[in-house]
Amino acid sequence: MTTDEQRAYEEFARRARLRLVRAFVPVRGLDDAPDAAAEALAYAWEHWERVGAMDNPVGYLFRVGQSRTRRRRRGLLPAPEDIAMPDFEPGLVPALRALPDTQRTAVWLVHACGWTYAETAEAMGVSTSAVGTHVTRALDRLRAGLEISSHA
Amino acid sequence: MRDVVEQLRRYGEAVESAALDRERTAPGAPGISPPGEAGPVRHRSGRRVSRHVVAAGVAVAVLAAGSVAVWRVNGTDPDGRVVTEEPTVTTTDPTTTVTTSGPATTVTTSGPATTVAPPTSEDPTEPTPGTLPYFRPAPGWEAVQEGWGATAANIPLGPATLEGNVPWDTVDRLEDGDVVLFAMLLPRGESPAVDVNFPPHDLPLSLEGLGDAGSFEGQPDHIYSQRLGAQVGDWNIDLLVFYGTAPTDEPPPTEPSAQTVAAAQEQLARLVVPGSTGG
Repeated sequence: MTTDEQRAYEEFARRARLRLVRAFVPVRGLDDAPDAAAEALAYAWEHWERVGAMDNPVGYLFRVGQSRTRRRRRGLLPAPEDIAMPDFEPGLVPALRALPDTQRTAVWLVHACGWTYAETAEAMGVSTSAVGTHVTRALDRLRAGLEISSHA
Repeated sequence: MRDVVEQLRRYGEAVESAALDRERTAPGAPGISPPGEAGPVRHRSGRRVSRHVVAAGVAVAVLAAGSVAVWRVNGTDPDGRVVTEEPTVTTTDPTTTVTTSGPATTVTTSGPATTVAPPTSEDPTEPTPGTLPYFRPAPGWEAVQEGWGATAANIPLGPATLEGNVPWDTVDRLEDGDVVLFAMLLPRGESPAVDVNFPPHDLPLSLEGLGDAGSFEGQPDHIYSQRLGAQVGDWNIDLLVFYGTAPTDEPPPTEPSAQTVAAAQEQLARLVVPGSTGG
């Protein structure tokens, strides 16, 4: 790897790490999300020539990180009181946990992580239209569960 | 009351901060290892499996790849269809089915045409159906080839296993005498540093002489595991064998019986690597 490539990787990793950590919390938990991000970035380092040329490397690395670490079975999303988060709708986390995996992943990446539909589609291995469907259904279920009317 | 979207955004920010705080304050936390270093990964039992070894294989067991192939003997597929040893490869596009019968391959599709081509190493999340190593199931076994992994077990495969995940949801259910074989597939030639971990082997692969591979993160205490890295043809195969054993008061697990190992060996002998002889 040349010096320029190393700099490019380091800049990418600096930006991508935080995005990946947040994205991994629902599937790996608070304690293991940083590890999953590290595994993904280690893969990026090992395959930088390919990953660096991708249109959507973060979405791709989300999939890599999942494959390189073990899924935890429960207790992934922390309760608001456990992360010192005041003024928060208490029913949201249970409602998130109750969503089907695909809907939870889609709505999490799009609205909790701010990923684009294209990035989310790459991360989930589905089409952007499928992401839209999952997100819409997830929001509907969350709003229904919380009795929050849509502002749309 | 704020809308769900705003709540999600705030919750995401708080969760990210909490995860990073925990990482910084965890005793002995490795943090983000410098890229390229072969640091150990943490795991529950205290035994360690080097990241380097894991990276050699797990890196290619990418989720949500493009195809699913399920074989069962004298059983049914997930949709209840009776199948035989003739493999059926079903892509994640539900409109396309690829059926292989003997040396000839036919492609049946109700959607866009499907091209069966040799695998390429351009993108490890996009393997090509029909050209990857897979397990022919022995009687009483189930097998799946999904993405860059092939799995066989003598118990029903879990849903996450069938979706191509590392088969933890099957391993978790193993009882004494049960076995899961999981072959992670890596096209040879992508990285000399990886290739060196996979010495050449002929088919059938052998479990003889393999010891306890240690414990992977979250691996149940009653699971005994073995690991074999092998080059077969154009593939590096990172094979993990998980045995259910009789529960003990504390780790390590007991070794599997000779009969169980023999059953695993019989199934391993049914690993098919396209382009290679044997198996």
